[in-house]
Amino acid sequence: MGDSHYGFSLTTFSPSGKLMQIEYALNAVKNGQPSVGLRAKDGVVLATENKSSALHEDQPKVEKISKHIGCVYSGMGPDYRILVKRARKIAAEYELMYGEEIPTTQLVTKLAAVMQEYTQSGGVRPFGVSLLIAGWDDEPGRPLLFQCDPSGAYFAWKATALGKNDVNAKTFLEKRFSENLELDDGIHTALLTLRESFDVGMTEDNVEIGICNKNGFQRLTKQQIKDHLGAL
Amino acid sequence: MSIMSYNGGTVIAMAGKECVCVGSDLRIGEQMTTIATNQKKIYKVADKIYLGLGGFHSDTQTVLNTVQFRKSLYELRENRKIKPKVVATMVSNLLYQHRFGPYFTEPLVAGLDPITNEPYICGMDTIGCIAAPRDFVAVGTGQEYLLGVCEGFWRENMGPDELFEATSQALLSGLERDAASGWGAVVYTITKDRVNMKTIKARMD
Amino acid sequence: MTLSMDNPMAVMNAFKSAMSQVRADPPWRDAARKHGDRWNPYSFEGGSTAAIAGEDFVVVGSDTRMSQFEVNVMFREAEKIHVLNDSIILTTSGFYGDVLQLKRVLESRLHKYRFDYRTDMTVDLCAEMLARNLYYKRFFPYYTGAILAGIDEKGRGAVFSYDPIGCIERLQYSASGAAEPMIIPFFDCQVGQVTVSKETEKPALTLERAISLVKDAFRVAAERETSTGDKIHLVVAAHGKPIHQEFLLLRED
Repeated sequence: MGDSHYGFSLTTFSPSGKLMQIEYALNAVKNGQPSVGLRAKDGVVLATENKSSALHEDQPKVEKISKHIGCVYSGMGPDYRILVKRARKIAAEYELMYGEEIPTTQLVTKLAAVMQEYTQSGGVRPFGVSLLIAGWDDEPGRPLLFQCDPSGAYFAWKATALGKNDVNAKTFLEKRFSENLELDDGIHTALLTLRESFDVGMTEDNVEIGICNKNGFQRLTKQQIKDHLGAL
Repeated sequence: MSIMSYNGGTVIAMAGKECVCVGSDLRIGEQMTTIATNQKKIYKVADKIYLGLGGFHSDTQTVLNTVQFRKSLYELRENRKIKPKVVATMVSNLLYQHRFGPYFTEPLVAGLDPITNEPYICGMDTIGCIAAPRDFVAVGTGQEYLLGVCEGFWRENMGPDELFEATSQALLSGLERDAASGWGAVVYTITKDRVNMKTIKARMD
Repeated sequence: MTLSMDNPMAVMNAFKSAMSQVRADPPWRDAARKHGDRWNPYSFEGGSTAAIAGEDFVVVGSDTRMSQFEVNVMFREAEKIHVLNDSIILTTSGFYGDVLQLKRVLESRLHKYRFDYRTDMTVDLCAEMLARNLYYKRFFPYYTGAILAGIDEKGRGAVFSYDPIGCIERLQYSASGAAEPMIIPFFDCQVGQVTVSKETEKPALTLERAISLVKDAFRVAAERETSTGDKIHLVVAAHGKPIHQEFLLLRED
């Protein structure tokens, strides 16, 4: 560091072989609002808690990346929006380069590489978010669900949960998940899972849902969410 | 004399029913001098995808190498077969990146989709503007000569044999009048099971 | 040039004259540009013509579009085939002014020939005469691609092809104009049979086949070449028969 007054802190190993900054980032995720992702037979569901208030405008958490890809997060909102911006840029650049939509696996790999870069660069800190990325790959025509962590590690899931109470939620999913769920049943199961970690009642104002199938990714409207909640 | 006709050469592609044909002449020259008489202008990019390159020969080779490199990287990274349309977009991007100092080559992509076997042909200019018609494309010094005959020969839904016949007739008639192309021709017929290469003798001059 | 600011009027005048000089002869215009910007006595109105000669007939075709700069259609019924007498047909493309002038010159020569010899000129003689007329203007040529067709003295179909300065060649078939590079290989293939080996038996060239080939040639040209279109003007001369003319519509664009 020499005489420099600035400290460009690098994420460095602790003697036990851990990167503490990443552990802390994961803690930020664990404290975040819960999100659930579930892969049905013909599509993917992303569901999350989004507390609304009478005072502030709604800020969506479920975001569309490209026609068949969308994502949601648990953790720090501002960090998430940076990643969404990057993801959209990656998707758009791919489409310009090859003339077709980016495959979900490609987007996840590239986005994870960005997150990894922030664990090994000077003057930056890791992202305080974990992402759930839902996609539909046209060939061979299948739904995909990925989780992307601050470390840059990524996993493919059939169903998973992030944020507060994720362990309970995952146990719940393990019991409820089945390979041949239809998308509508998937939404149902995801909402049930999400309810486990809710301290207040679920309404269309504090739940957000995104679905992804062969027609593309879309966020459900309040009315649609209300209908699904009514069916619980 | 234009740099595009410095070496001479013509490439043509035609689309049929679940098959495409792509052919080129075999001459390469330096203006009026013939240098070699065995230079194909069609290159294999993938199993069922061929790239034809007309124009200035050395730029042709540079573009070919770059495209082959990028195609290999794509297939390794994505762990899947590349599609003809993706090759075309890739070449187009490569050319447009050199918008203000272009490679002097007009490429042509012809092939079948690795999964659906849908035929795809397209041609582009030196800066990568893609034209993907459903019938046929030609690039190179004999382009105009070929298009007339193609227009007369092309029919909807031709089978591989018919398509080969139409392509070779167009190519041979065109080479008859284009002094910068000739010394016979080579025609690849790409079908879903196999690629057939035939060398055709023409006026050897 | 040394100018001081003591005399602002002189400075302004010097600036004014420098500006007018630049305006009259901009220094960035190189020699090639200056040459290109010179007044050009020629223009080019597009269009194509073609002819096929058979054993005892000749089929001549042309389109009827007159255009400029390959995009601007000026007239859709411009005739490029001129029947000069019962056995001579002139068809030209290129600069339409020269096309008309050339036709007038030939018509007056033919008229005089008829006056002098009390018989129509034959196509062989007319062909030679046309070559000389074109070469006569060697250094200010008629900007035309001419084709002269007709029935010769022996009753055979004849096609003569010219370049703008009168180089003449008797051929079985020919084409000239904007779509020449498209039509010629098509005829090479279908009439000249260049892609067929020598041993193979070739189909005879009948009048019907020649007519349909000419029609096809112009449909091909209209498909790909912007300055060729609107209508096909078809003229058929056969030995011992009057000249037959017809117009056929091409694709409407």
